[in-house]
Order: sequence, then structure tokens, then C-alpha cells
Amino acid sequence: MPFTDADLIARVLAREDHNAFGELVRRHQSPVRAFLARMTRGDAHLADDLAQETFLKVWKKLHTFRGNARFSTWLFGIAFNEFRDFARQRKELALEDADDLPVESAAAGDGLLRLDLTEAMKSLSSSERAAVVLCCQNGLSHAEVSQVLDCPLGTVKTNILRGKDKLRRRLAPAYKDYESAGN
Amino acid sequence: MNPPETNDPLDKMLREQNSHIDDAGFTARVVSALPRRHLRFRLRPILLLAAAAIGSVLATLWLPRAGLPVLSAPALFSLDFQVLGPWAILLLVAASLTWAVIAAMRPED
Repeated sequence: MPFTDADLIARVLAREDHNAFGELVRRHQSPVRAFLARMTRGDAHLADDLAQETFLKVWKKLHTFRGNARFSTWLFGIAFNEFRDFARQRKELALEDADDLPVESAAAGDGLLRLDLTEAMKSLSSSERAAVVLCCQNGLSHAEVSQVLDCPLGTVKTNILRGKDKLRRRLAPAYKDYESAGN
Repeated sequence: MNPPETNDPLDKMLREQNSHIDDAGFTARVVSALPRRHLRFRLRPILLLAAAAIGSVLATLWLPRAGLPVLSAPALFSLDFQVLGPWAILLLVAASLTWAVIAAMRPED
């Protein structure tokens, strides 16, 4: 029977077990790196650096994990804090609304629509992007997103609605084709 | 608790875009960069308790051989160091020991 996250955490805390921690990283690296890649507007190298810092922080702070939330939720919280700290230091990734960023026009076809979605995501503000990615892509509940982003539940719901509305407007032409194709 | 699945094509598109990222050596890089975590955690309580123990021994040496002077109301109000001094040292040692034990038991931030 495979170890649960709780088993692995217990082994890390009791024995400083690098293998157990490696297994935790292996399990969670993909969603964390994908989330950070979204947050950094597609900069994979920067996202990986932030993800590595995230896991090193997890290693140092694992004893503070109380287990009253899912480990992945706690992990996303640390990842978001890493991104936020970095963005505060670097003005170019500041937490501003990037609504006026140019976005390439949408084109018909599923593959192109995916590319357009990636581009359209870049036009969301950091708060909207984080809320949409965590809720709609990673399946976190609104309450969990609120915990990760450390903001009120109402703000999370507003950011998700506003973010999705922006995406629909950005994707309008191709989005209609996608809908009419029965997807 | 996950948010309810919707038929919204945008939700579907977003879910479909959530592709798996290959590890490609990422885990190995993280594990090789792990610092020693428990050493500092174990050293701190030892240092604190050792410091408190040394302080207690020194305080005991400074206390009068005949034992603690009797505390009475006139002695308290006289502010006589011969009477109040040993008691003040004793209280200080007790407070330091209590603080050291609490600090040693608290996890590091």
C-alpha cells in the first residue's frame, strides 16, 4: 500500500528522511510548478526557481503543518507567498492588474484556442489568475483558495467571476466556435 | 471539498489545460539542496538549558550559606539588600529557568 502524505510527513519529521521528502516533492511538483508558471506568465525557469524555494521552505517549516488542511493546500499557500515576495521585489511582476496587456487575436481550432487561453490568462491580474488557476484548474474549493491566498471568501469568488469574465471576453470569437463544436 | 463540476466550456478548457509537468530532475535538485534542519532545532534547547543550569549554580554560590533570610513585613518595607537581595536572585533564577524550559520546548519559526 502506498504511503499517504501524512505518513511521509511523519517520516520526515521523525527521521529527517530525505527519501520520504523526495516522494512528497515528486507527488506535488507538477501542480506547484504549473501554478507558478501561470503566476509568472509562462516563465518556466523563474517558476522552477520559485518552486525549488517553495519546497526548501516546506522542508524547514514542515513541523508547523498542523494537518487541519490538505497538504497540497498548505503547499500552494507557501508557493503563492514565494511568488508574492518575489513580485514585490521585482516591479515587472508586480501584483497590478494587467488588463491592458496586448493579447494575440483568437483563432479557430482547438489547438489555437489553447494557445489563446494561455495568452488570455496573462491578461488577468495576479489575484484573479491565482484564484482561477487554483479553483478551476487544480480543483480547490473557494474556501481552500481563500486560505491559500489569505483573503476573504467573497474576494475569491469575485476574482474568479471577474477572471473568467475577462477570459470569455478575450476569447470571444474562438470561444463561440469551441462552444458550437459541441465541446 | 472540490468545486462542483460545471458544463461551462471555459471550465472544461481550463481543466484540460492543466497538464502534468515531467519531473525531469526537479526532485533530485530539491533533495540535493536540502539544508540540515534538525541540528539547529536540537542545539537550541540544549544551549538554553545549559545556560540556565550554569546560571542556577552561580546564583546558588552567591546565596548566603546560612540560607534565605526570613521575610517579614518590616523587612520587606525596609528595602534592606541583605534581606531582599537573596530572594530577588532566587526569583530571577526561577523565572530564567521557566523561560528557558518554555523556549526550549517551542518549535523554531
